[in-house]
Amino acid sequence: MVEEHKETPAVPPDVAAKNKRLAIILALVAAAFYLGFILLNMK
Amino acid sequence: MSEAVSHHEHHDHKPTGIGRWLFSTNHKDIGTMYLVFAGTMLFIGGAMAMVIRAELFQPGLQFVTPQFFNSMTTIHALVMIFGAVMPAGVGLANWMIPMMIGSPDMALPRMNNMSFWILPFAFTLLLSTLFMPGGGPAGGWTLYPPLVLQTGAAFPFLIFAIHFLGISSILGAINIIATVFNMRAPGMTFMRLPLFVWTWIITAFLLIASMPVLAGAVTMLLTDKFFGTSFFSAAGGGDPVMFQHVFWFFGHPEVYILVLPAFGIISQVIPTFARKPLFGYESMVYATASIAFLSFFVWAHHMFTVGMPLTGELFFMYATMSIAVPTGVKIFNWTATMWKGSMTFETPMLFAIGVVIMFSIGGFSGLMMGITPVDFQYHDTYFIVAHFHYVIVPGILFGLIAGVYFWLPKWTGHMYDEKLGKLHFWLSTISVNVLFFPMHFLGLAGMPRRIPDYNVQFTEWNQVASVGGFVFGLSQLIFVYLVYKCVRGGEKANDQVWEGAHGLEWTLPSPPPFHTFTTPPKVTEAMAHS
Repeated sequence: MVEEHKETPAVPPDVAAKNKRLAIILALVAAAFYLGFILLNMK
Repeated sequence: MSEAVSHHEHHDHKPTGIGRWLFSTNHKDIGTMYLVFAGTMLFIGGAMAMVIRAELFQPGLQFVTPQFFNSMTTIHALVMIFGAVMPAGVGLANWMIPMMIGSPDMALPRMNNMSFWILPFAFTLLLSTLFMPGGGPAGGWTLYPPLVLQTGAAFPFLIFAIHFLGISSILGAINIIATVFNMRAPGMTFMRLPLFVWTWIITAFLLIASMPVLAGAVTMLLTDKFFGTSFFSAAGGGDPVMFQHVFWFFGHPEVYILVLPAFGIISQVIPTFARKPLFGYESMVYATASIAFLSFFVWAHHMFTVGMPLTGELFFMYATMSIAVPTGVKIFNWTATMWKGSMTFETPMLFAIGVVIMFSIGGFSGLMMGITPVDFQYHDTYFIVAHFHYVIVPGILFGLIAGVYFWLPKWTGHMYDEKLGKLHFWLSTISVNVLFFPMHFLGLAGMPRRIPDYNVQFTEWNQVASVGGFVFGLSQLIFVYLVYKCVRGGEKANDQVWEGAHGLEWTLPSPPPFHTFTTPPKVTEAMAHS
């Protein structure tokens, strides 16, 4: 039997969910900074 | 050897062919790709520096047109900052952070792949501008309007390249924060993290806070150029000086984005070769965080000469001075770590000591320019060129090189050629000082930066600097050969590699298996940072 190759070891689902949640929050913070600085410069 | 390693050494299979690299989600492979990319960009940016130094060898115009010279200064900076130094830091983070905290990989491996593969596309866009009508961007890496708006067909390519670089950096930063926050092995508390990991968490937060500001600034440039807005156009009611404020609100934290990972490396290397624990671990963490925090309150020291209210100038002058305090804490702690240590001077240690001394030279000239009335004299002269090159080359680049020498035996399983390493260090150290130290004299004598021609009185020191530049550039070929030789073979490295090395990464075999720590190790105080 050929063992299936996995390039990255599996992460427990609860940790994967925490990773995803944190990534979304940080991406939203970055997007807010981006838009915020443009809006601040509008007159 | 950890349980995780022994479990995996029997079936340490890895993908093969081009697919291994194109679709990689393995932190070690992605780290390698980042480092190879950074090395390539270092030589492309270095070749541009050679063009600059060849042109400046004599007064008058020798080899290139003024427009092309300005393109070289602009793209050299963009390539070195965004293509060489930042990716090298991310490459080291990719390789080492999971191994240092006992994690099987980065938290978001597919995003990790995307963060890397954005870079070659971004730099293809940027470098392709050199072949466009009107030439490459030539307004300086600071992209000040209205000058930068005179860029020809290259302009949108420049802006989109910067956007891509920003996206890549932000994705990388998110990954590092998620990895350190959520993927640490049991027992690996925050105050047990190696300093390199600490400096990278703080750098990642700096990236998330500052890169969107640069993206916002260049978006506004784009709309000013193509969509009729007037964010920075005085004729339309905008303010070109506002661009400088927004740019440097990104730009000063960017300096620390470049330097903090190098500080982290030095904090790993010096205790190892002094065979002593790092002096003042906690104060190092707080000093790093203080430097990062303060970096958001000093931006206007880059633009004292635009004409600010006196209170503004005083605020930014004192705020700038205050950064010397946490930086001094770090220099003191590194020195105190070496004090009465059983020191040996292998190549990583030589580069680390070089950083402590030569970064301080750049730090002191920075303090000089932080004094507002003094800056009025030095602004836009070769003194500033000397200052930031001392910070970036024998400060940051030497730190990154120290990291490569330090971890290369772990990555490859072979010891590098120590004689060649020392030759590389001494040639680089002597030539980098021959290259950059005379620029202080040129700046104080009044030679302006970003010009292809100069008054004959500046000739001698320019010739000295150019000779230093050529020797420094050629010396780096030794490094390339040394790394190639080490990857191909050499004396077998043991797991610990260095006698004084401590930390989880040194418990793994050299080279580490493709997968490590699939079963998390239990970290104790004794195994934590050195």
